[in-house]
Amino acid sequence: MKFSIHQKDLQRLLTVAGDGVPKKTTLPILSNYLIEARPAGVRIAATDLEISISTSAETAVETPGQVAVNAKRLQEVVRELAKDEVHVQVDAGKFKMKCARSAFELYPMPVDDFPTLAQERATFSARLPAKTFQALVDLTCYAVSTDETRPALGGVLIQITDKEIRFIATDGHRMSKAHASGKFPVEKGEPREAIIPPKALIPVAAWATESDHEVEMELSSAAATFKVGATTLTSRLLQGPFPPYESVIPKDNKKQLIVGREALLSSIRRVAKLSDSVSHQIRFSVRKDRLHLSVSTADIGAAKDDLEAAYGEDDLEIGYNAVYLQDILKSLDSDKVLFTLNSPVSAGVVTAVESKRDATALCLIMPLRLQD
Amino acid sequence: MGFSPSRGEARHGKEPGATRIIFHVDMDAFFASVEQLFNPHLRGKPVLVCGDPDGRSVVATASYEARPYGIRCGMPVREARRLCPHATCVEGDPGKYIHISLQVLDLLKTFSPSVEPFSIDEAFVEVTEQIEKRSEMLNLANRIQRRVRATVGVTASIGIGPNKFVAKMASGVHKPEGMTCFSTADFVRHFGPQPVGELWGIGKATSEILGSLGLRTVNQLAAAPRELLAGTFGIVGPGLKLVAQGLDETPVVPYHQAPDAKSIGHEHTLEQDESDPEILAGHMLRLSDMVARRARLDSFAGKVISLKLRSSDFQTFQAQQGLGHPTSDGLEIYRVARSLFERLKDGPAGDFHRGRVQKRKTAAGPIRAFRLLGISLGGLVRLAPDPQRLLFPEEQRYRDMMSAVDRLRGRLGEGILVRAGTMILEH
Repeated sequence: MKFSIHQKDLQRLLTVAGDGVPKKTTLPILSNYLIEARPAGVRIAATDLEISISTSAETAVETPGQVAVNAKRLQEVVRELAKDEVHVQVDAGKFKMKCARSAFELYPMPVDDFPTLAQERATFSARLPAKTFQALVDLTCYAVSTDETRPALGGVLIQITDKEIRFIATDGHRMSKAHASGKFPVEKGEPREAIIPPKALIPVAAWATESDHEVEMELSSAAATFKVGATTLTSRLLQGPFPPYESVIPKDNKKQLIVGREALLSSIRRVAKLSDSVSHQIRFSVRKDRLHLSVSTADIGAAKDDLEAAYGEDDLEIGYNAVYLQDILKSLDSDKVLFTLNSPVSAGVVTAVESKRDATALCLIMPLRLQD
Repeated sequence: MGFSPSRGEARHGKEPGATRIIFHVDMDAFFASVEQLFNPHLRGKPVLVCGDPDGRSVVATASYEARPYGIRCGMPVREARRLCPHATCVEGDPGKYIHISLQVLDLLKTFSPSVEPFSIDEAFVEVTEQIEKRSEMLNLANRIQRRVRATVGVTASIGIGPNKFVAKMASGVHKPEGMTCFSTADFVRHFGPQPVGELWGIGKATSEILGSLGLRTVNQLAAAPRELLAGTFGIVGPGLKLVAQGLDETPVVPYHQAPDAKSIGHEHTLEQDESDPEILAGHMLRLSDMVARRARLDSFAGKVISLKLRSSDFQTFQAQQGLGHPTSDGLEIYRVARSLFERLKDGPAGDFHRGRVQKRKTAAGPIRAFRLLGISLGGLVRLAPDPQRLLFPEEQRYRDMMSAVDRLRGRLGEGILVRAGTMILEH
């Protein structure tokens, strides 16, 4: 194997594929990049067995071939190289790299050990603009559960109908349902939904946004594949069932509260400094055209703040987890947000008033039970 | 709620060094009383709690009905049986005693924030702040006794004193369900003429040494020269003289200031080696429930669940799994324990690697037999009780149901509701 590539291009390929390298692993081969030189160019791949990433660039290849090298070391070395042409070759069982006046040798691992994820024929495909995909990801991924015992909640449920695409995430305390309209060629009998972990969605959105490429999505019965330019990410689907999310969206929330998003966010940040470190409890006291925020934590202290708001219903006292509220407010991108509320024990709905994003979201948050 | 003033604040408003009022609450024949509480057939009858009723163990506790026969703690079971052939011997069950003990502590905490659990059946309660006039002391002690009897179902004797030592000595004077209030002078009057071995903390060895110094009674010890005691016993010597005078400065260290537990665990040695997965699952469910219940009683939730297994050939395996969130739910703990069991059960094929079990490639043999199971909950955080409401109604209903179950168990005993999955163990 022998090829040359500019340091800048090589570093970019390694960074992109680097999202597929597991941080910790029991299989040593997974700590490696698989580097393939083909007549048309070079391809770099990595996998943690749940997702696999492969990215390529056109470059001058002298001799085709394959090699598996330690990802962390290669990335660190390449980052420090001169901004110049890098000459790579495998010779006498060693991975050799020269750039300007520096030279490196790394000991590769057997290429045959590198796992390949089974490819299945895609049964569905769709294209989404970068901004739409990024918006759907930002509006939902924060609500994904980190609970390993509930694997289905560890991903975003993607549902596709002929008119819209939906992303739904929940951890059992809050939920976000985002959607964007479009025309999707859904036919009978094809899978229209899949649960995909955020670690697959977040990098795809970032690549698309950086390059302003469309995201091409393909679903098969076991995997989802996302293509952005010359980069492909394949993710195993998480096993369902996903809980019946439609049934928990409240229909009888009548009390409407409108607040400035930025003002509310900074107010929550301030008072939450004194909130309990586990429950992060803050109290909303909703009054006519005012929203009072307060925190009172045993052994720590108390804080109060207050905001102008638009509200004309009965007074309401509700406790919330400040972190959950901040996640919601940060994901929305409007000047004002609308809370539709019912009671201190039922789900509140938060939506953007005149969203600037390419997707809209309905956010649900369950209150905290207030003491006293 | 859990807010209680720290010790410094608790004394606020009273003169430093003002007389403290300390209760020593001592449960009467605790293990035997708990057994009688759980099994009505044992009530009013002589009951001996011991290690192994058929083996060569000793009596841990004898009920008051057994004491007239001359049965005392520490006596070999065989001798006790000879003295009182119709006594029922019961094998000790620590789970029950812990449960009742925690109930008593919770109750004591409603009287004063300053409760120091001293052992499974005794606790110190400082009530200096709770009492305006000294005449209220006996009333308060009486209320505590009545509440313990009415809500928990066992009896306690209370010693009242100006320090922990005197309170502790006083509680043993009148039993069961007695109440003794000693000032320092009362203490000296009552214990002064008695042998030094009567004092808390002075055992046989120390008594003998004191005797060899000519100090046989408490009064003699109280009057002994400090230097003599320091020379003989070193640093603890002068302390002996102080306690003999009924003096003790050690503070009551409240429950919530004691270091937090790192993990909560229960383990169970099976009566016989067991390989039936259904029965093992029943034990895991029971242990998970016990761990969860303890965690909830102490307002803890944990993020790491570990399972310990000991096979019939005495090999011990352990594995753990982290959750993304803290839990105190028995079923959730059980589910994790069960999946750990699936990974561990095939025995030495399991190797530890970064806390996870990696299986070697071995042919799956028949399921092994196990002699011990243990489940513990680590990565504890204080969570009292989780105020977060749940989005999915069935989950909220489950949580509401579990808290109703807890209240029922708290009021009527652990056995009032059991999971169907543990009933396999009844046979």
